[in-house]
Parts: sequence; structure tokens; C-alpha cells
Amino acid sequence: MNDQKKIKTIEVISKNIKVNSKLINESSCMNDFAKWDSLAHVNIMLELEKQFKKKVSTSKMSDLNSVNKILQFFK
Amino acid sequence: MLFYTLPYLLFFLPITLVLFFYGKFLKIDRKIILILLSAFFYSWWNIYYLPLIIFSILMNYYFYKKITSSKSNRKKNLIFGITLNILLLIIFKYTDFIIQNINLLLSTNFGYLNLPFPLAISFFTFQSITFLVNVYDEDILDVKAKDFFLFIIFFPQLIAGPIVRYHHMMPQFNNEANWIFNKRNFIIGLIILFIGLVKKVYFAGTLSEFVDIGHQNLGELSFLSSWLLSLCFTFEFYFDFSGYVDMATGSALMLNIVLPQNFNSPLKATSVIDFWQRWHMTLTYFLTTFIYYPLLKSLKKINFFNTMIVTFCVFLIAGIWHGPSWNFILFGAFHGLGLTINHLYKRYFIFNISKFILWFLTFNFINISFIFFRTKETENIILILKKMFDIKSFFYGDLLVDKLSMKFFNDINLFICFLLSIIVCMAFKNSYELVNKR
Repeated sequence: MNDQKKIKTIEVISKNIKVNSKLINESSCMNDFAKWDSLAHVNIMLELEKQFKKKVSTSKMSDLNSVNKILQFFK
Repeated sequence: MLFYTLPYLLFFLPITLVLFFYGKFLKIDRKIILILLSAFFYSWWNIYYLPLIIFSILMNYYFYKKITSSKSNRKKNLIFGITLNILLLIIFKYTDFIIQNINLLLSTNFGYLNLPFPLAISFFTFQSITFLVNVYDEDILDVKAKDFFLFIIFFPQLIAGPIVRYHHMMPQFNNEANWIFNKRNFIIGLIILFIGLVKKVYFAGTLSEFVDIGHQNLGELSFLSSWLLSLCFTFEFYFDFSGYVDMATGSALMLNIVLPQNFNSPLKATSVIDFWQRWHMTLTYFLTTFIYYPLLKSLKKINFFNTMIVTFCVFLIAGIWHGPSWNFILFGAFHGLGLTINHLYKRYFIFNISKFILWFLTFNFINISFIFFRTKETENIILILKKMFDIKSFFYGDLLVDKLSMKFFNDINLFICFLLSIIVCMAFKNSYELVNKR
């Protein structure tokens, strides 16, 4: 289940920042990709909210700035 | 009280350290000691401002209670709390500016209220809003009144930031290990304080003399002197602000409290986006988290176009937040426009431009934007900009009659300070990197 979440999360990030999913892993963070900016981040958060049916508050959004933190939150 | 003044450095800070670490005999809670000392620090400038900050703290604590106690009206209480905070800020900071513009627009003659402008109101208002939103999101639970009081009034970050978050600060205040004097933190704090003092007193102080003279004699500006004036202000502004924050960070660290980083060599930025990730970083966090994201989330459809409009609006707000004057609004608008262009470039143009060119373009953008920040009158902003782009006068002008440029080159102290500013900003590590290197 957790692996599925990880795959889905990376897939959503990859789609929104237009980077091959193979280049994204658990330790990746916003600063690693120029295209993972605030606009892409909102879209990622909204899509993950829908996927995992868990609301992300706007104050939490800024904190979820890495794949690891996102996975922890949606675990 | 200001960090670079003798009363602070020779009396307030040493007394605070002694009372905080060795004040057991007083039999007063350490948090209360810090609250009382911070209130004294705040009142030093003008004691009449103290009731307002106390009122703001009590009001926000009341809303914290309301949000946590009721299940049904949580959102209403949050909105009401945020509105009152903003209203308080508007009343004390912007009333006369609003009256001035109404008078101008409608040819009316309403008198100014000349209300006092309480020190740090912009900072403690943002910090209180952050707190209420975090309470609403249930990131903060179970807050004691004295804890909230200390969170707002803690003297190092009170006057000019950084804008701190409750759950970053409170665990540090609650950690009993932090109540014991720590030699390492004391020495590192002292070093950061000293770096800040040099930035503020030597660099900003020296450069500001020329900037002030230049602004008093704008009629004498030439191509060369207008560039020197703008560059001197850019460095002055950076050293002044980051120096003050360094002094805040150093002072807090001596008390074993780590404040968040607020500057990360912003003049080395290679894009406007990069600049805002390096300049006043806690303000950028606030704008992104509490204005940009909520505005975007409230849209029915998020696309590139409306994101750019939101970005522009956020920077207009950031501009107004800096002060009740049109030049700050123009400053915000200029950066909003710069960010929009930057995002457009990032999205639609994939050229490989050398880092040096990107830095050069960004630095000049920042340098020009700071003219808006420093110059209150729009006609003077236009005058400086005109002179900066009047290349003809550079070739045909006579340097010997260019009094401002001559003053710059004849003042050896100023000239050395200017050169050192360039070296320090462009080639050196920043204070955060220096003390965090292992």
C-alpha cells in the first residue's frame, strides 16, 4: 500500500514538474528541480489531496517540500 | 531600543543574559523574565506603544481560545481574528495614507488623524495571523497565555523580524537545557552579533551618508552619480537590514534560541524568483503560505494566467506592507512584474544563458527596484531612472563638474567601503554559512 502511494506520489510530481519519474526519489525536494516551483507545488498538492482523500491545509503546503515529507503526511 | 546602541550592547543584553541564566534567586519563571525584559526593550522607544501590543496579544489569545473551544464556529472566529488584526494594522499604519489619497482623488479636505505608528506593528500582526492559522489547522494545541505573550514579544525578533512561527519557537523556550548557559552558543551568537554590528554601523552607516547627500541633491545627478547613488543604496539596504537581523539572530542565540534564517546572500541571486528565496525569507514564507496558496486554492481553475495575476497581487500586498506610501506599492508592483516575466521565461523559453548574465540582469533589476524603495516622490524616481539611462551625458558630461561623483571618488573611506561591499556581497559566504560550516 505504501509502495503504491510512493509510486503515485512520484507520478503526480513527475507529471506536474515535467521531469522523468526515474529522476525523482524519496530524498528529492523542491530545491532539486527548477520546475518544482510554487505553481507546480499547488497543483501537486491539489492532485494528491484528491488521490489520497486527505485535505492539505495551506500552512502545511509550504512544509511539504520534499517527497519524504509528502509521503509522511499521506501515510 | 536598537541593537547597535550602547544601552543595548552594554546594559540590556548583558543584564538579560545574567537574569535569564543566573536569575534563579529571583524565583520568577524564566519566560516571565524574558517577557518583562522584552516589554522594557519595546517601551524604551516609546512607552505609549506598549498598551497596543499588549492589546493585540490579548485579542489574539482570545481568538485562540475561541477557535479551539468551539467546533462549529472555528472558521468564523479565524476570519474575524484575522480581520481585526488587519484592521488594527490599517488604522495605525495606513489611515493618513488613505485620507491623503481620498483628498487627492475627490478633492476633499479631510484632516489627518496623525495616529502614532507603533513600532513593529507590521511584524507582530503577521506573526499573530500565522499563529491563528496554525491554531485553526490544529498545528498548535494547548497554548498558555505566557507562552503566546513570549512568542510575540520576544525582543530579538520583535522589531524587524525574522517572522517566526510558534511551533518553531516554543519547543526551544520549553527545553530546560536551553536555560543553562551554553558557551558555544554564546560565542557563536557574539560573532553573529559582531558581524551584524559591522554590517550596520560600518557598511550601512558609511554608504548611507552618500545616499542621503545624493537624495538631497537630486538636481545635480549625472549618469555616473545616479548609478553610484543607486548602487550605494542597494548595498546600504542589504547591510542595514541583514545586519539588523544578524544582531537579532546573535542575541537570540546567546539565549540558546535559534531564529530562522532570513537572508541567504540575496545579491548573488540569478533570477527574481531566486532573489525572493534569498531575501527576507520569512516574509516570502508568510506571503506564499498565507496569501499566495489560499488565493490560488480559492480559484475554481488554476492555470498559468491566473497564477501570474495572483503573484502580482501578492507582491502588491507585500509592497503596501512595507509602508504607507506609493513608492512601496510601486516597489511591490515592479517585483510582481519581474516575477511574472521570470515565470514566463522559465515556462516558454529554454535558452542556456550563462549564470553570469543571469546574475547581472537580476542584480540590475534589484538595484533599480530599490530606487522605488528609497525614493518617496514619484517624480524623483523618474528623475533618477532618466539619469541612469542617459548614456549620452556620460560621454559628453564633464566629470570635474559632476559634484556628486567627485565627492564619491574623493572620499577614500566611502570608496573603500563601496569596493568592500561588492567583495563581501559577491565573493564572501554569508553570516549563516560562516557559522554553520562544519
